Amino acid sequence: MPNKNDYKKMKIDELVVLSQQEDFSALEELIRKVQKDVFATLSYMLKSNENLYDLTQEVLLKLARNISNLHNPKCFQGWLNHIITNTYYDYLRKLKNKPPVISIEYSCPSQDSEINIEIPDKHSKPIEKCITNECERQVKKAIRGLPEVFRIAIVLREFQGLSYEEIASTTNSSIGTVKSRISRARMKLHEDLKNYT
Amino acid sequence: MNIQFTCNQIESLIGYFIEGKLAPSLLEFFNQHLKKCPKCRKKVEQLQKVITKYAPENNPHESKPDKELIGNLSAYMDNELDTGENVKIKKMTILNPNARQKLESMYKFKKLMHNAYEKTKNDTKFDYSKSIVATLNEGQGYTTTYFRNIIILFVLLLIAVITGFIYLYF
Repeated sequence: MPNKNDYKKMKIDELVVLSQQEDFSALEELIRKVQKDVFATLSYMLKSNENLYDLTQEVLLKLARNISNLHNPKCFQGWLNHIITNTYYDYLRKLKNKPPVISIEYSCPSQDSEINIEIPDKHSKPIEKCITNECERQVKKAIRGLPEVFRIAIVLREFQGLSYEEIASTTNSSIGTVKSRISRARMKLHEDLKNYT
Repeated sequence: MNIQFTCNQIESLIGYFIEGKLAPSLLEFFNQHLKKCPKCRKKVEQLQKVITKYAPENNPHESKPDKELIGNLSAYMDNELDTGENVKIKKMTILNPNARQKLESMYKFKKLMHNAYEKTKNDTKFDYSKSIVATLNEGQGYTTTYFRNIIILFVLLLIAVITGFIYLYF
């Protein structure tokens, strides 16, 4: 039976597989590893911090409840982003008093390809220091100011590293549309943030 | 001295040729090869087309960002172009200072956004892992206990009914 330190050293794929075997310690460690990403992604998707913590917990609970339904552990990141995006869309529908449409079903766009998520190496020196609170606020303000479809696309691309194909699958759009949305989002952000580079 | 360039050598000199910076002593041999090699000739023509399209003098409205250029640079940065397009854009950014500047600017913004995202992540102090797993287990426990109680009640009812029948008929 692995001990606490063993779980801390495991990769995401390994924790996913163990969680699917009802290893609750592995599930706890998996949640610990992804919760900050879920929070940060939602914080850039939402237009304000209202309900941010609630939605984060909602996503994590859905992850915990449905982890056994994930057929291919390799697709975990795309599956998690599917949950994040759907939870966000359901939240928007609730605000507009429309019924939620929750779908945990997710099919990996291409099962054979590797999903490469850039995870910064903790031991390497950062090229630049963390930016100031003010700068972070301005970046968040600029991203939150984007039209919704641009915002979702750029957040999934920049912060979750999804491919255009995966973003198209998650947002029910075409690859060409995703390409256009991302480039237009970048143009708008460039305009809004030119004083911060 | 009779110099004959190979296609690989032409490939390495093509950029200088397009920019008009190829050493005069090599120009003659370069052109000689192009006369004999349709493949290299086609490569030069294709590259010249790309350069001409994106050359600053052919884009007088530079103050308005070229949407198609930005779109392609954006997809290039995300490694979402096919091999042919990838090579075209790479060569174009090498030869066109305007495109190169735009790409460098896009990389700077990418870095800025990532820094902001990492700061957001690092500033979070909560840990929901234990509470989420506890909620999951509570839900299962509740269901199991509820189900168990129903079964016990059902069995008791069955025993009562059977006892009643036995009492009535015997």
